[in-house]
Amino acid sequence: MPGHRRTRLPALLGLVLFACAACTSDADSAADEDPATSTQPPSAVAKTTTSTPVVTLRRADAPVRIRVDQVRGRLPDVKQALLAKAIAAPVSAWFDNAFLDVAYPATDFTAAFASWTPGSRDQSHRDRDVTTNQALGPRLAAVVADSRQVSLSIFGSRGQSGGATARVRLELTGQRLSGPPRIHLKVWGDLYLTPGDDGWRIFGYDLHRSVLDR
Amino acid sequence: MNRAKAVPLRRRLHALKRTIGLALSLILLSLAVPDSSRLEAQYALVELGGVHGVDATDGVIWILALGSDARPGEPVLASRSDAIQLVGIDAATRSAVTIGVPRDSYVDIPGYGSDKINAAMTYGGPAATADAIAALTGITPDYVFVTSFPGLIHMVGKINGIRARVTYEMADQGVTFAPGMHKFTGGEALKFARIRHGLPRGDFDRSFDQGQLLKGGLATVLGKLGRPGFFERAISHFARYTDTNLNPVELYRLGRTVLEVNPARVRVCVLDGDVGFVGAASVVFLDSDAVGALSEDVRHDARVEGGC
Repeated sequence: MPGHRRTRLPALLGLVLFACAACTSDADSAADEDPATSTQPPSAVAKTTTSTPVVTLRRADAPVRIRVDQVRGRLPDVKQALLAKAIAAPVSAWFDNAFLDVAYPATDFTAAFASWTPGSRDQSHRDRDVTTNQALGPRLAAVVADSRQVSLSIFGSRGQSGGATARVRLELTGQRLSGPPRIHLKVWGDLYLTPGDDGWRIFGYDLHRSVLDR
Repeated sequence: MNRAKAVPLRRRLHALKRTIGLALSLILLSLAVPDSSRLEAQYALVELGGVHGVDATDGVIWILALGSDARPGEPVLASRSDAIQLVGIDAATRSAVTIGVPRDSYVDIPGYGSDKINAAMTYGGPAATADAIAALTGITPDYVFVTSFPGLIHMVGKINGIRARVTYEMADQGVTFAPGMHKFTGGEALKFARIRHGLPRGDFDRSFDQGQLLKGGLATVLGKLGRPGFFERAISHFARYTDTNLNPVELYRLGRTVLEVNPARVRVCVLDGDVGFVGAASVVFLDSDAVGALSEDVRHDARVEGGC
């Protein structure tokens, strides 16, 4: 009966929310913990931030998987695989500079936007909690890529490449300096690229980020 | 008979559902109550965020969108312009303004004298119209796009229609549109952009509707942007059915920049004036003070502060 559905659903939702809240309370507090405001004794904080962390996360990064989803319009007469490689190069560089090839624990992510147009760097820097690993960087000892996917939609006209959207998905596991040992980060969305004299560059983005703690 | 038998079955199913629901609740509750012996926490989503933006170093971009009334066989770029919309876009603030210029506006067309602005394209192509707009508003368009009647129909059709708001009841050219939001096919969109008979302020209201079509088109495209490859498909059709002074890279970047605009921050304006006559020709004499005030208002940020 509809009446039963109406009364049961909120109860179930309440239980689910209660379950999530109870399960995550420890993880939340650990993930949000800022070393500067930590409840740990000062000596413990100093120990984790001044000594070289022991990295136990040592598996290889997952390879970058590049796929061409769509081609619209007339492109230059080059092999599609070569074109895809050229378009994906700045994306791959961004994966590295903003997340992977970083000396953790890290606070400086200014190199993250080397493959972006100069005009897009200011804005992406303002959004660095999503466009880089700035938010977690100081609390990590190391990261490894679990998945790096790039799906391209390319536009061309009159035999000239006009631009491309790179639908990206980056999944990382991070080793934390303290608290639960592992943290999982996922960044996904679109990067917009155009070709220039010095190769393809990222000029815009629509990105999302989630962090899973355990 | 069958119905009588079905009742107990429904009750049994209902009882089964309740039992499953209770079991599910107990399972969830067992997860919810922290178990001191369980050291490993469950996965928890602790942060979620989204950001977007484009290289907006160009500041406010001004686009002149022209609809040519070229009939089959006539040159699109040398016919009269039936629709004239000056569009300002500020990607940094995600704002935009569309300024409709009534086609009968009697203006100075630099190098060609005074005439209705829709004649400018017949004198000197899109460039002459852009010059007339610059002389009128003091705003020089960065880019000019010209499309034809079939071009508009195809573009709208290729993205499966666009939604736009109808302000006044319309009944002309074989169609009837009631006030409110409508989803237009390509042919309907063209009629919506062209109908002026029956509108309270004729050409002024028609120009307003053209702005609404642009605003609705933006919202429609944004709503479909999550589909992989949609933008490339849309920009490809746009390139095919418009004439422009942009190269493919500029077009691509401009398209992405336009799509940064929040439709809720698009203001649709029409230059105001009075209808009069030059000889036997019915024309619009624009209110030069109002034109100057609006142009100055929107010039640097594409936002209307003082009304339009």
